[in-house]
Amino acid sequence: MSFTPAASIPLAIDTIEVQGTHAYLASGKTLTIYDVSNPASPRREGAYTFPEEIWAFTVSGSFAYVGANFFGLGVLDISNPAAPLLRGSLKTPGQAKAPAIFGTKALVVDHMAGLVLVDISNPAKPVSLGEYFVDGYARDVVTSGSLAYAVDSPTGFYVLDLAKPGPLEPVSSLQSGTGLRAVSVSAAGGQGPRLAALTGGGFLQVYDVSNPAKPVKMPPFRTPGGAQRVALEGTLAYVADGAAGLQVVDLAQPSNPTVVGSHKTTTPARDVAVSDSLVFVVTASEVVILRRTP
Amino acid sequence: MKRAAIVAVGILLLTLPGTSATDQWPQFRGPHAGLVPDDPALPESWSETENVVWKAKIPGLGWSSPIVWDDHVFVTAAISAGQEAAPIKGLYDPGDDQGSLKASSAHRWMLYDVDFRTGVIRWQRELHSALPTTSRHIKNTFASETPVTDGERVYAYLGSVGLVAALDMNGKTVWTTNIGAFDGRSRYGGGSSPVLHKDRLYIVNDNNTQSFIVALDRKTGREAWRVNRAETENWATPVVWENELRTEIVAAGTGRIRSYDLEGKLLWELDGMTNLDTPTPFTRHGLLYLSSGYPGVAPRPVFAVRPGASGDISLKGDETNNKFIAWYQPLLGTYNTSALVHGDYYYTLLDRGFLLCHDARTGEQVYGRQRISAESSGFTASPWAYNGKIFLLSEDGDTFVVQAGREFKLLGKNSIAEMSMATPAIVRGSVILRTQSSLYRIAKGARP
Repeated sequence: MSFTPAASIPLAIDTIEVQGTHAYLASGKTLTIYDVSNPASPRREGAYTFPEEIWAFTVSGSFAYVGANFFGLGVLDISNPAAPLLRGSLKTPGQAKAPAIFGTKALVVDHMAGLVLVDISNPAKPVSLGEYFVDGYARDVVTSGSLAYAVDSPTGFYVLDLAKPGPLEPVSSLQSGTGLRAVSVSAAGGQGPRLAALTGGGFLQVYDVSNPAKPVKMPPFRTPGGAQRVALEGTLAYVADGAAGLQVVDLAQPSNPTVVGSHKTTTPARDVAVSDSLVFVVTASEVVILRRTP
Repeated sequence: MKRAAIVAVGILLLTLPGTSATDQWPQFRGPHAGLVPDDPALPESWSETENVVWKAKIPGLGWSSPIVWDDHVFVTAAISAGQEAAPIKGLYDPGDDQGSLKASSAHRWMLYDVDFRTGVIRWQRELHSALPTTSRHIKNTFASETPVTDGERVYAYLGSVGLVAALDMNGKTVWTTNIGAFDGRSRYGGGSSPVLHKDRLYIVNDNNTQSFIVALDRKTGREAWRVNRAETENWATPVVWENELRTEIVAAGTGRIRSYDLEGKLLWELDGMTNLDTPTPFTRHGLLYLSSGYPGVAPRPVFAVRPGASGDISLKGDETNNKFIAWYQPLLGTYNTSALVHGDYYYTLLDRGFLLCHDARTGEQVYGRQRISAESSGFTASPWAYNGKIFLLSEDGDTFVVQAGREFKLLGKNSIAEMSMATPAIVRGSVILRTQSSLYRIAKGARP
């Protein structure tokens, strides 16, 4: 696999998500939206600045759900990318960090409470439905279908079913990681086993989550630069790998990962997003847009 | 005039000798690690106006806990000449600098003697003034070490400038000495308080330069001995453990606990603490309880240690006990609060607002995590107990009252709406509670 730079966005940002023709970039307190329908010429559309720092966010439908530190969960209407509008918010007990969405529910990582389940059916008035406390510091969460995959530092990996009524309880949990900080999960229905890829402590840690009740931990894989964050597409893990830039790891045999591509960035890579044939690599000084060739 | 007379009579009644079993509170957590003999005169509910004998403004910033001897209530504080970052409640990820910050202006370190009866500052002494050279965490202060007293002198330790000062009860300086000021590995500032035993004052200073434990002559301040340590930071106050075999000084620390005899000779050591150690070791039922629980790492242990150990008593492999470790819980350790043993039970107050209960002698769980309040910012002050009740002071200034025993039952909440991280003193029917700006004396039936 090889990569050709298409363009760059000269912004020092922290985290990125790409949905369709738009890239969403968070830096400090501000979420900025770019039109990337022409990858060679990304165009800034609009931005929204929260009262507090953005730790992470996720885009679902016409809303961006933002973990905005002590401000809580922010519900940002992005239906008009040129003028994002805050529709509602919910103060969580501590620092709101990463949200993940299933239907009308958001699961929010909170530094004090662990995981907070929020009813977002009314965007203007999110309501807390309950909490699940994790032993360490909750760090990240993603959803795929009704299943949520969460990590806490130092060791915890949790699978929760958000479709299940009643108190928030994990379907499974493992205390076996090392300094976990971020998680990505492969989409349902793909080829091969369903995987969750976690980063932290410089490792890429993969779990086979084909059976959510019994995740199987694979041997940790040390990437050359120290994995920061990861985006999974099928069995390919696109790793923002610090000083080593972008590393693409084939997890078709998850017990035996193989690096199948890479791209060196001028400054350390800290986040990554994949959309069709484009890969967006966040570094300390810019967002590099790469075209990939199989 | 008539109202003043009534207040005066009330004060007199409240301060009559012999009305309570705990007459003095000479050190951090008092003489029995937060356990107070039952006394029906002690207050169990209060607010900013209910059961408040007095409220005294304390200039400066300091999380040192109040200590009490007779009519003297001592606290320390550091007053900045400029504007410093205000502490933020809660347990949170402070960002790139991990919450460490430098002072912007010169500080004056103060020792206050507050009149137990009236709340009037009887005397105040400036112990030192300078621009702090060491750093602190945004939630910490430059005056977080609790002073200690023997009733003749009060001993204040200012870790951020290395100063140890002994003053008599009238505020006259008896001696001062400087044992050195150093940043710890995380540059979070100090918190480990001095302890007294017989003729000596013991201080642990773990830092990034040369860690040590030092014994000072309490009458002169002369250094009796100093032993270097390998730990790089620590906020736990050492404990003098007078057991049936000997007296020893136990100091927790990053990674390892060490026990010393009264001349500084290493008696035993124990591996397995987390990289940030704050809970103060304490003893009960013939056991020494050790805890360390930075939430970002695992294990977060609690050890119950029997007397008489020597050498390295660390657990090996999957062991959960050995000859000198009566029991071990791998994930029970707390970050900031110290635990409490009341009766047969070991109570753990997790910083993020849960109470757990274990059998104090065996370590077996009595009840697991019980959420105290979904609204609390967090807990740093250590719990205390009397009259069959456990008291839990949150950083919001709310003291939650929980029934002691095998079942968790929340009985009430006493609110003083100001940030609180110091552990109160409980003497002669009164709770002396420190908030960010003030000191309160709380007693049953009192009106301010």
